[in-house]
Amino acid sequence: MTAVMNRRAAILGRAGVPQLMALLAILIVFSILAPSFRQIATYSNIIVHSAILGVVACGTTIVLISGGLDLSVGSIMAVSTVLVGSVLMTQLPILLAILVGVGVGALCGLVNGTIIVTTGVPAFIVTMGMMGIAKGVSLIIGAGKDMSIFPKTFTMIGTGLKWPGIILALCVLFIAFILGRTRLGFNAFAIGGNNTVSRLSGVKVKRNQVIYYVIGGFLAGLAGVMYTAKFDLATPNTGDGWELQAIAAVVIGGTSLFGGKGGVFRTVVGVLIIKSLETGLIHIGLGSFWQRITIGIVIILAVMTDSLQRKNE
Amino acid sequence: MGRIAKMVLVLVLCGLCLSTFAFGAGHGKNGKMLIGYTGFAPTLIFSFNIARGVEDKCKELGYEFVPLMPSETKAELQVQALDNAVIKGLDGLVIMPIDARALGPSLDAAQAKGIPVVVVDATVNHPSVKAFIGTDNLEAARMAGRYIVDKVKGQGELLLIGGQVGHPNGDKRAKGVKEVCEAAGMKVTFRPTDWMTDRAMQYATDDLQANPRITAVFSAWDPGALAVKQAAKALGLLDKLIIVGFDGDMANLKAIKAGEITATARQQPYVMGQSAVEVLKKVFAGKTDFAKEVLIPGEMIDKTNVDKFLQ
Repeated sequence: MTAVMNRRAAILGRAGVPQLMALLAILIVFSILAPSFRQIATYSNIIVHSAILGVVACGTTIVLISGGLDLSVGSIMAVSTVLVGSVLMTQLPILLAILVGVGVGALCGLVNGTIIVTTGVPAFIVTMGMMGIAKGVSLIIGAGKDMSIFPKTFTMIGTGLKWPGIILALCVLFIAFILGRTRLGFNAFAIGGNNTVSRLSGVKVKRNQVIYYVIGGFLAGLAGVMYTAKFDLATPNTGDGWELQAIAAVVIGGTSLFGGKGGVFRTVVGVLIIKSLETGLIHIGLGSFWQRITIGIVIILAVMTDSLQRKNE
Repeated sequence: MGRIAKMVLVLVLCGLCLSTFAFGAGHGKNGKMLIGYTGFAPTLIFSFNIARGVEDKCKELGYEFVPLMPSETKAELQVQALDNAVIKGLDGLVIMPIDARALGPSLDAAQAKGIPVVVVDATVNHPSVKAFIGTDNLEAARMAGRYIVDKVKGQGELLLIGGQVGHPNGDKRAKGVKEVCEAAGMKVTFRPTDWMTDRAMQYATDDLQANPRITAVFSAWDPGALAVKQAAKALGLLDKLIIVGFDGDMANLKAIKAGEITATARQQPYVMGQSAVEVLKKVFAGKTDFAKEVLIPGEMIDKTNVDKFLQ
């Protein structure tokens, strides 16, 4: 059964090997073209800049595998960061701020998922609406306010490599566990692969779908918390465009945009491919406009590969 | 491709990757000093002009110009470009901060590598910063405020389209204009926009419609003034309002000439860029005879003197 095979592939990552080789090829090419690329600092820097996007992309992975789509994750980051900032500015405990951040993310996910499964309105539209609502809320709460300079014990979780790396690793393992070892994860592949058949086989499709959106929202909220800690400020300008970046990373990594197959380790590779390209282009002296062109081309190539593979199946 | 073959290929590529370390990390090309500049996205003319100033001075002094401007004005993109450039290795940095609050760790990294930093436009408090070159925003804003009060004879209300609260220039410009106008008895409505022109347009449209007592609009940066002009035009209020901007962008000078905008406070971004590189030149030579803070006075440009600047 395809769902079983895809699930195994998700854990073992066998299907993600071409992307891994692509990543290594990119790193080698830049190492040859730019002497300054060949330092440990370059690689640790890539991981530092990958952490927050990685966390968001973990959530996007499971949503996409289940056949869903969430365009609101960027705005969820924004509302999370302004709430975290607000809590911190009133000197309330840091833990409360973090809980509020991830909590509002999960709540947005819950709203998204519930509307999608009860009304049947396409996920694209619902999450696009939530994108506007969450952004608007974040502006109402945070526009024109100076929320910055937070306690060191908080910003620590966003600074450097250690804590962001640990948080990213935990998120990756969390999603990998769900996808590989739980009924919930198994169902994601089934629902994404064939929604109707899953429902007829007794899978509680609607309930599961809501949970996937909650997970995605939770991780977006967590990314908002990490962003606030890393940059030591909370503004509603956070997260603009991140939903597309997360989708790009997941797709480049090898998870199908149309659902039914994929894996979170592949997503990590996808994020690293994007960030390695961005970093490498700076090292060879090409500016940020080239980064956007390159990433755009890579996305198209990745989706083309996915389509061709689907045709062959 | 067989599974074993794939694994072998992956291991070979990993090995190749790691072996590149053996060749050692390099620096720049042909021994030229690398001067990096990062600011707002080049779509902001002000930042673009600073970049031109830096680049031209670099050419003149035989330095290599490394452009690090993000394609979108986002603090995280500036930080990413900075971090990568510091790792790549630079000899000097000129920074126009998008959000000074976000730059701490990146400047720490620059300091650790001994890279001197000159900051332009908005102040940053950090030991790696050798000098600051910018407009005296507070004084220039007061000057703009006095211009407005003079034009409307202290009548009516002022709509203040601000930048980002927490951005030193946004704060100073709002403060300067507000001070002077309120002292003259005008009520001031403040709308921060995070430097986003679409928000400026939105606020201008809403407030101009809702409040007929507004006689003047000040925008803390020139693109905002253009957005206000569009809003006023759409409402048919263009000839009833005094619209004043801040920066001295060519697009606004043209609008002033055409009578659509009243005035702007001129900055000298090109000169700032050039001066920054000159400071770095002195730092490289081990000299310390330069001013740690250079405040360039602003200048009001309106229809009476705009021709001089349209050359």
